[in-house]
Formats: sequence, structure tokens, C-alpha cells
Amino acid sequence: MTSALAHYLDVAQRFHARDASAPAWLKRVRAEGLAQLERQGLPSNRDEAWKYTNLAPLVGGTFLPPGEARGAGPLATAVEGTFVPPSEARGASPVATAMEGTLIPPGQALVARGLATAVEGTFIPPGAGDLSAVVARLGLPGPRLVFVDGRLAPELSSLSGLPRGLTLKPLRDALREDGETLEALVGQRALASEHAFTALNAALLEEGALLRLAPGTLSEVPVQLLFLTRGDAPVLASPRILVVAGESSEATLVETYAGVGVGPGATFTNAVTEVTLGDNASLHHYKLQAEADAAVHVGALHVRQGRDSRFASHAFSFGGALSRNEVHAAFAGEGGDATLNGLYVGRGTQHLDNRTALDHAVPRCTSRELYKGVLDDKARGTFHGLIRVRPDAQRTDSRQQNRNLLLSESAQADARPQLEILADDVKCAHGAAVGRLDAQALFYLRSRGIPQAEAERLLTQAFAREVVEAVPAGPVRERVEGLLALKLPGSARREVRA
Amino acid sequence: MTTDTLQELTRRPYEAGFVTAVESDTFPPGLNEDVIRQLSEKKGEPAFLLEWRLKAFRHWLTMKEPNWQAVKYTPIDYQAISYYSAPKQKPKKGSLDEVDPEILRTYEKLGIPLHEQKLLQNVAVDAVFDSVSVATTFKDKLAKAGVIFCSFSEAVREHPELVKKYLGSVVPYSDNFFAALNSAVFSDGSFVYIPKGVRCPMELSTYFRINAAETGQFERTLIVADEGATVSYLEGCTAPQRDTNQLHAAVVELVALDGATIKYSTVQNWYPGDAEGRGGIYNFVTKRGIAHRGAKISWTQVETGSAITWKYPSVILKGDDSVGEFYSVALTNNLQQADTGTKMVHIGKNTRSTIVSKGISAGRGQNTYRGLVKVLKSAENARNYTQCDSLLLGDKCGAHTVPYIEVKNASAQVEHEASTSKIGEDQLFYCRQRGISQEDAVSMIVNGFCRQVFKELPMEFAVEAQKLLGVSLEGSVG
Repeated sequence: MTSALAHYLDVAQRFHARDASAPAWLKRVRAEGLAQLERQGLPSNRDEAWKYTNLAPLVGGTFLPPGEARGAGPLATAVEGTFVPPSEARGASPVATAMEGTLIPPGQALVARGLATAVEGTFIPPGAGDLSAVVARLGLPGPRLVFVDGRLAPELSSLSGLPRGLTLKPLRDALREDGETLEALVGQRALASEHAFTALNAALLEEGALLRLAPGTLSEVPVQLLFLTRGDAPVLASPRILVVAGESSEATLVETYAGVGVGPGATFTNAVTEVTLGDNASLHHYKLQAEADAAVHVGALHVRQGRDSRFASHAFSFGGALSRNEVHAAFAGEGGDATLNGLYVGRGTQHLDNRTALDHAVPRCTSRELYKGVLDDKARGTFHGLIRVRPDAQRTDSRQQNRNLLLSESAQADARPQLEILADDVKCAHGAAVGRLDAQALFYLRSRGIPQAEAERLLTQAFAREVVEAVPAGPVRERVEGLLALKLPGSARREVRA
Repeated sequence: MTTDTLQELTRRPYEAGFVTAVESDTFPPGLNEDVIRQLSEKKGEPAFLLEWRLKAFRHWLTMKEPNWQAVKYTPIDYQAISYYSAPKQKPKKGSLDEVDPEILRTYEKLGIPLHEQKLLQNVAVDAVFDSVSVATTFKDKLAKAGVIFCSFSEAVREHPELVKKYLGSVVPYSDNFFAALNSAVFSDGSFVYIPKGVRCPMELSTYFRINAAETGQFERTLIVADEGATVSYLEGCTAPQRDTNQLHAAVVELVALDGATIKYSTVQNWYPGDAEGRGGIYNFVTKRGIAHRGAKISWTQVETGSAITWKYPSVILKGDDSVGEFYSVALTNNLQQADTGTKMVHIGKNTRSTIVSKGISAGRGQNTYRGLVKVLKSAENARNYTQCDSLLLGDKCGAHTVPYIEVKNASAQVEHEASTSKIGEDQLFYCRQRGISQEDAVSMIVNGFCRQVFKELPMEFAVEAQKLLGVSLEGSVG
């Protein structure tokens, strides 16, 4: 643990030295991140917020930022347990050398090595062998920014078709051009002082996106941010996404994280998203996490909601050896409405961790939360959801549900639904359940001639679909269904042959 | 309801808050190995027990006071507490004639007459006054059935083999900070042993009374139900009204061997402190039972007193087909804080547990349910149902629910439900419309809210609990 911390402190210091020409405010943010990381250290099971999280895949790795990872020496070490942020990951020594002794440009690596290994260790099997095919498969119609191994890939990105009033910028550009705006935004919602991984993200602040909506802007096309990791270098990607939605604006943001299977190595994505919703603004946020099986993914979404604003978060966690999905929503004005939905589907030895916190700080806000887990093999799913109703937040109406389906004898689920209520005129309820498929329902299907395996699939899909169907029909839902189909065999609509 | 009536009603006096004028033999405040040796010597304990106490004390010195619970209190100075206080009296002879009449009057005033002829039918009582047991009733009748019911000190003298075998077998001295402290300095308590296949002919009960000032009460209860035995045990507690805080750190261990049933009910009414939060008992209690094959352990608690309540009566469902239950009503008024709940650890196959927790917060009280349901890999077909409801009376109080669910076996079925609400205006209006006074209406609704738990209490206790709740709460609706 200490050595992992030392590694990241080191990585951050090297990064700061490399980018000595950064503007003063940015240097300050990064230095503060570093200081906070040093102060807090990396979390362990002894921290209440990480009690059920096994951080071994993270601590065991030496990940490097994009600029260094490629130069980190033999990949083998990296795979066994070291991670680096992006600017280090792609540094000096050629990847392919490390892997096979021959230098092959990443685009061709797939072709050269054959797909078998790559596909096995990765969630998304690469399409025609290059990233544009992957982008075509995962991408949505409309504007998008694509990041590969923690770095913006302009050739894969597209900013055409941006509606009037909507600004989408790579963070790199924004850091240069909108210094003042960013200075006021970065770290406002996600506090480096409270989260070690947010501190690490701040210390390595460089890549990401800025999305701004002018008051009254209605964007019908979803804005997509696509983060791809190739797994052929121990990259540490630290994207920071900043969203400011002006009064009465409405938009859809889709964050997709995918491993594209060039190499079998582990990567580490540590993403932070900060959202500020103005009065009566509305944001639909989707997070599709389909990282490679060896990957570590830590993502935190922090939202502050203005008066009468509406926020809907749909978080799908499918990939990663270790995945931590955090959603923190705070009501700052009366009449706000928040929906937090999540689906985590794990197999093998995956550990899928979910943490949500709803802060009802003002009266008359409504929140609904539904998190469901499907866990097979030796996978472990964790849910910790906090609803906090502060004094005087009267007329709060909050409901939270967590359901876990265990498909194998060795799967595990931990649930911690938590209520903290300091006002009296409130309606709050939470429920949590862990169980396996209903024997009676299975019997019903089998008595009608549906084979056991098929019946199990049907019931499992039905369980998961409740969350999928909360996504309005359209291209986003299709992508979710596509990813789920890869994860839960038979979950794509398919004919039942009795 | 107006705030005035609310305040008036919540200001009801604590009826058990008087002090008994009795000469007592009290150790000076302070804790070190010599105090423990002195205590052990005073009680004429065998060497193994003193050794055990010292081990516990040495371990305690290495431990830190826990700080994860949702309660705030001024730090306890463990050197300012006297660890032994006993009313001066001749050695117990099993006859009430020897007991100081002043003490007998105390129990009478509390509604616990110790004269057997006046006793509630069929309840045997062990009365613990400060650090010692002053009287145990119906001993002869119980002895005929083979039941051992006596003070802990007596058990140490008369049945050292049983004490040695089971003491610390459920709550080891190293378990937690307060359990370690208790293990080092516990003074008295009750001991129960029910032999194989015996159904205890009457309810057993211990009444704990703290009287002396500046003392702590550290009692230890050990109940062993041998194979196929059944026992129902009740516990009640009160203390005088004082401006200073007193520490109560008890340990209760239950052992239910194959097929045994233990029902443990508590009505806890320690002095809760005044409306400004001055005084009151700090109640840090460790209660745990172990259920062997086919055994059943049921905890029922009504927690209305104490400035601070910190207790998690737990069941280790070790044997196949064992059953654990936890029914709780916890009430916090004024500045009371309660952090209570249970732990159900499923180890055996087909183990079942039920948790019903009702929290009521009024005034500026803070009420936390904290519970753990853990299903280990070996616990095939484990079942748990948990329900935690909170009722908020007033806008200055808080209700918190912190359940932990850990499932490592796919065949388990675990359900948790919780809700928080206040008494609805429409409910009150409905009652008022039918000519029921506001006060009675609230009392009815609150009693209805707690009904599921009260019906688990033995009859006499259920009546007492309802009265208590009425006293502590009546009309405290904003």
C-alpha cells in the first residue's frame, strides 16, 4: 500500500516537472491534488467507504500516465502489478518489444498476434483490427470526443453537429483557452480533500472534456465521450469531465469506457466528472463501463443540482477486474429530482463496487434509486448507498432499492443501504435483497418445456432488463443492450426454441 | 399538537430517579492491577478467574475506545470511576431477612417486591444493587427442577467448572474495548444453567439498580441452556437521577446447545439525563448468543433509558437449523442517543434470522439502527428478513439506518426493508374526530408502531414497556 502510494506520488511529481510551463492556477490545482493524496494515502479495507473493496488489482499495479507508460520497461512487470499515468505509459521503450520482441505499431498488433488472446482478456473484441471500427461500433451519432489510452485522439473525434448553445471542448484546449472558467470549476464538486482518487486525478489533471450549455439550450443529440484502452501498456488515464448546464437547458451525456483488446495487460482509469446543473436544467447521464477484464476502473460523478433541476444517472458496470462506480448528487435548490440507476454484471473474479450518496440539503426534493447486480462465478458485487436528509429538508421523498442476483455458489454480494435522517416530515425508504433465481419461476418455465439453461437465462435477463428499460429507447439503449449481450449470453433478444 | 403540550409531556419526571440511603462499601476511584486483585480477593474468587481478569485488563490497556458509533459524549475518565460498590450487609444466606430493609423498600418502590408471596406469579428475581446481587428468589423451587439461578459470584463459588467452561466462550475478553473492561472488573450479575431437556418452570429475571454515585456498573450474565432446554429470561434496569454521567458496561453471554431455546428480554430504563442532557447513564453493552444445532435465541429489547445506548445483541447461528431473532424498540427523547441493532452471523445450514427494529426519535434524540447480516459460505439455504422502521416526532431529532449485508452463499435469501416517517396529520385527525384526545391518539399510534415487538415480550413486561413508552413519550409530537 505504502509503495503504491509512493509510486503515484512519484508519478505526479515527474508529471509536474515535465509540464513546468503550465499556468499558475493549474499548477496550484495539481500541487493541491498531490498534497491531498500524500495526506490521505490510498484507501484500504479499513476505511469505512472501502470496507468491501479489494484493492489488490490496483495496489499490485504500477500504472503510468500516457506520456510514460510505453517507456516503463518490460510490460510483464506492469501486468503483474504496476500502473502508470498516460504521459508515462507511452514513453520510451516500444511496447511491442516488451511484449513479443518485435516492434509492431499498435494498429497492426492485433492482426499480427491473432485475436484469440486479445479477445479472451478483453471485454470488447476489436472489430476490423483498428480503432475506427471500434469507434464505429460503440460510437453514437452526434458529436464525440475519443480518448485512446488516456490521450485525446483527434482523428477519431468529431465535433460536427454541435447544437447552438452547446460547447464541447477537449480539456487540453480548454486549459489553454478558458483558464478562468476552469479555475472556477475544477474541484468545486469533487473535493480532492475528501477522496484520494479525486486527489490523484487532480494531481495529473490534463485530459478530459468541458461541456457547457448556454441557458435554454436543448440538445437532442447525445454528447459522447469515449475512453478506449488498448491494454498493451500499463496506462493510468485520469480524465476529468466538467459539465455546466445553464438555466433551463437540457442535454444527454454518454461516457463510455472500453477496453479494446490489443494487449492483455492491465490499465487503470481514474475518472472524475463534475456536473453543475442550473435552475430547471436537466441532464441525462449514461456511463457505460466495459473495460478489459484485467483493468482497474475508478470513476466518480459529482452533481450539484439547482432549483427544479432534473438529473438522471444510468451507470452500467460490466468490465474490469476492479470497478468502483461512485455517484454523489447534492440538492442545492428546492424541487430537484434525481434518479440514480445502476446495473453491475460480474463474472470470473471481477469485483464491481458501487457507491452512491444523495444529499437532500434543501426541502421538497425527490430521489429514486435502483441498483441491481448479477454476479456469476466468483464475482463480488458491492453496493453502498447513502441517503442523507439534512435538518429542515422537509418534504423530502426518497426511495432506494438494491437487488442482487447470485448465479453461482461462489458469487458474493454486500449491501449497505444507509439512511441518515435529520428532518421529520419526510418519506424515506430503502430496501436491499440478495438471493438466487426463484425456484418456482424456473419450475414454471420448465414445466412449459423451456430447458433449464434457457429458463435461467430468461429470468436473469428479465432481472437485468428493469434497469436497461429505464433508458429511453434509442441509440443509447441499443449500445447498452449490445454490451449486456456480450456479458450475459442470450440477453440480446433471441428466439426461444423450446 | 402545540409545542407547549409536547414540552410539558416530555418533561415528565423519571419515576425511578430516587436515591436509597444505604451505607456502602465502595472502592476509591481508579483502576490498576491492584484494584482487580483486591476485587477478586473480596469476592473470594478462584485463581483462574483472577488470571482471566488480569489478562483482560492487560489486553484492555492496548485497546482504543471505539469511535465509529453515531453518538457523541464527553470522554470517559476511566480512572475517575469506582469499580466496586456494595451495600454493607452480612453475607447472603438465601433469606430475605438478612437484606437491608432499605434495599427491600427500594425494590418495592420500583415495583419489584422481593418477598416471594407478593411476587408476580411465576417470576424468579435476582436483584443486583450496584456491584452485588442482594437477593435471589424462588431458588428452592428452581433447584427442584435442576435449574441453577444465582448471582454470578455464587456461581463462581458453587459451580466453578461451569463458569470456567463457558465464561468468555461467546464474548472473549479481547472482543471489544468495553467487553475487555468488563472482563477485567465485572463485579456481579446472574448465572443461569438449565439442564438437559428441562423447561424452566418460571420466568427468570434480574433487576439491575445503580445506586451509588461515581461508580460504574459492570455486570456479567451467563446463561447456558443445555440440550433441549428452554428458558425465558428478563432484565430490567434503573438508576437514580444525577447530574453526572455513570458508566454501565455489561456483558451477556448466551449458550444454547443443541435444540435449546433461550428468550432474553430487556426493558432498559436507566436514567436518561434531564432535558438539557445533564447526567444519565452511558450504556455500553455487549450481548451475544451462540446457537448450536436446532437451537433458538431470541432477543427482545425495549430501550427507553440511558443518555447513550450502544448495544448490538447478536446471534451466532453456528449449528444447522438454528434460529436467531431480534425485536427492538428504541426510543430517544431530549438529548438521548441510541446506536443499537444486531448482528446475525449465519454459519450453519438452513439457519434463519428475523430482525424487527422500531426506532422512535423525539426532542433532540438521535436514533441509529446499525446491524449486520452475514451469511458465510457454509450457510446453505440461510434466510434473513429485516425490517427497520423509524418514527420521527419533531424536527430536531434524527433517525439513521446503517445495515450491512454480506452474502457469500448463493442459496441465501436476504431481505432488508426500512422506512422513515412521522405520524400523519390525517391519522391524528381521524382519531381526534372520533373523540380521542391528541395525547391518547399519539400513544395509540406509537403503540401500534411498536406492536410487533411488544407482542414478543412476556406479558408482565409488555405491560411495563407500554407504560414506560407512554411516560417517556406521551404527546411529544410536533
